[in-house]
Amino acid sequence: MNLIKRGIKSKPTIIITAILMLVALMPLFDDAKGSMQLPIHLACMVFCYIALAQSWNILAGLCGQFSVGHAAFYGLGSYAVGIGLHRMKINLFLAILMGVVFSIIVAAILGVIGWKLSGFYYTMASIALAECLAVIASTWYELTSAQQGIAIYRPSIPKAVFMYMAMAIMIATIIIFYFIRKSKLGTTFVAVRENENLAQSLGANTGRYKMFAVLISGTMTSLIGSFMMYYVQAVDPMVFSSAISSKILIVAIIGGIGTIWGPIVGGLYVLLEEVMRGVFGSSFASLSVMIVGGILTFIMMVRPEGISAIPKVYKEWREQKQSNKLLKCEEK
Amino acid sequence: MSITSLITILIGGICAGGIYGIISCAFSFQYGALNIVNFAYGAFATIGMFLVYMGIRDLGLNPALVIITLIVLYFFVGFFVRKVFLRSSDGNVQVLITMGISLFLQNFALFVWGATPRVMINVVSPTWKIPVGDRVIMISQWNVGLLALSAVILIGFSVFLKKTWLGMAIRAVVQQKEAANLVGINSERTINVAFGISYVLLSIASVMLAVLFTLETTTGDYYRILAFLISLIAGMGNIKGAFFAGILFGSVSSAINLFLPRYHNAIIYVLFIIVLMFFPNGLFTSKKSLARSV
Repeated sequence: MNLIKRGIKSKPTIIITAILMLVALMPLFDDAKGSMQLPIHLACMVFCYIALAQSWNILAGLCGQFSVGHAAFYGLGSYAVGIGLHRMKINLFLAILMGVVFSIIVAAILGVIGWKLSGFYYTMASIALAECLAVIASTWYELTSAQQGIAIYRPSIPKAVFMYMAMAIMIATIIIFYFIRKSKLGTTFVAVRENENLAQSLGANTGRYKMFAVLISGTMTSLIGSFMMYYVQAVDPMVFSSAISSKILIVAIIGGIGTIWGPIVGGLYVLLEEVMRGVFGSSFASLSVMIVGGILTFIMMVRPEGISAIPKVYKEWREQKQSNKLLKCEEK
Repeated sequence: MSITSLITILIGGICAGGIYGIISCAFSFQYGALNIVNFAYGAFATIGMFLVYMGIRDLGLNPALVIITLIVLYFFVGFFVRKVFLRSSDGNVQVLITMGISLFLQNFALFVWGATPRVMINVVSPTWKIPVGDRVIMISQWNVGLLALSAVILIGFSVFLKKTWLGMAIRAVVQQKEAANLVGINSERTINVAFGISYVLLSIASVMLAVLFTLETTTGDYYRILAFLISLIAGMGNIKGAFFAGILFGSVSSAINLFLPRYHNAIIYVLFIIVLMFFPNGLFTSKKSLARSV
């Protein structure tokens, strides 16, 4: 209970809660023309990507397994819902469960890879795993309709409901991350990240902990993928592409990797991308991505620790300034 | 499928492998020796290809002039990319910065040149025909020339690293930065220059790619993954190994293309994972030689 109290009382939590309250009130201002539909959709996407980035953060931020193949789990979750509802005509929850089962299998493979490989070798192996699934998705026509993709039909549910669900999922991932970070499991993850040999010498079975990390992270990613598929109603082999994987890791790193606030602040990147796309329209789509890339490079050059570290850096800077002033007063 | 056409295709794959080798050598040097992860690698290769195309086909300049200008330009591009963007030694930051550069460059190429594929050389290369029984093995002369050229360039590169003062300085900085500083090497500038030199290799590779393959603005990701794959199979920082791994990759890839073209990428990736499971440090790196990189 102490943990929860401390988590709720911290200043950033209050700010984020206030912002979430404002976002949650958005559907109330919807008029007949549906002018709030676009902001609600944007909020939904931002929440989903924050949740994805937070689950990636467990694997890469805490355990140090830099995977650039998280689209594999995301795509498995999406395709499970697509295939389950469209081809096999089964219950939605059964379909989601199917995605989770396949994700656990793939996560176990990635965990075995992580047992042997480390660093950039692991990164590349994770990319290879995702690309394998992409090839299967784009060639197995009978199951996945290849490049056409699968569209599903669902009863029409207002967008606001999806936004609340996305918000709930996001808060759930944040809470899961918080508890893992504070528990013994998370501490061992950090030990594995910082120095694997040392962790091993202290009696931690590092391979098994890496496996835990990838299993937790993969399952969460798959669930979010299922949710997003049910929301957008269409899936194609692009869900396995490196574009999705890199977006997930950009959101996590631009905010601050390994911290709980990182992905939450990093959600601004998704917002920036969508707004840029809206501003430039489809005819100048490449120009908008160019600008996003430029901004990304600029932010990382100016703030290598991530955006979420800015208040801390500012505080330190102010304290230093004050102490300098005191020193000057004393000199006088 | 006769044995002679199989040999023909395999030789084609080996020759293309030489170019894959030279692409991945530069990447292997960047990551293995200089510790810089460059996710913008494929984007730079694509931009180089299109610059060559623009110089030779659109502007009608002398090919030799265009290629030399590109090489000099890429040296300075590499120098300034390291100097301005990649000063941080943190891997995550490097990944994100180069990803941003990659997004920028790829969409810049898409914006300027559009998505239409182009072919730079529309003349069929002359071939040697070797009769075997009643059939012939055909060997494209240009492909063999490119393979020989890439081998010569890589031998030149390793001689440069071993024999010249600058090469020795680079190796010293790679082995121990502080000690290199103590003996009077400006280590920061040396790394910048080394990064520029890796971009020279990249520009040569992009000229070869433009000669051999179709030019598309969206292939950057593919070349990046190719460079990652091959340099990892060889073992990071192993330049000679990367060249041979490129040739291995080219021949395996052409063999797969022959029998199961639909599943080409999937089989390559599965093979890659299997190879890495048995040789976690790459095929050509033994535990002994890990200590002395480059």
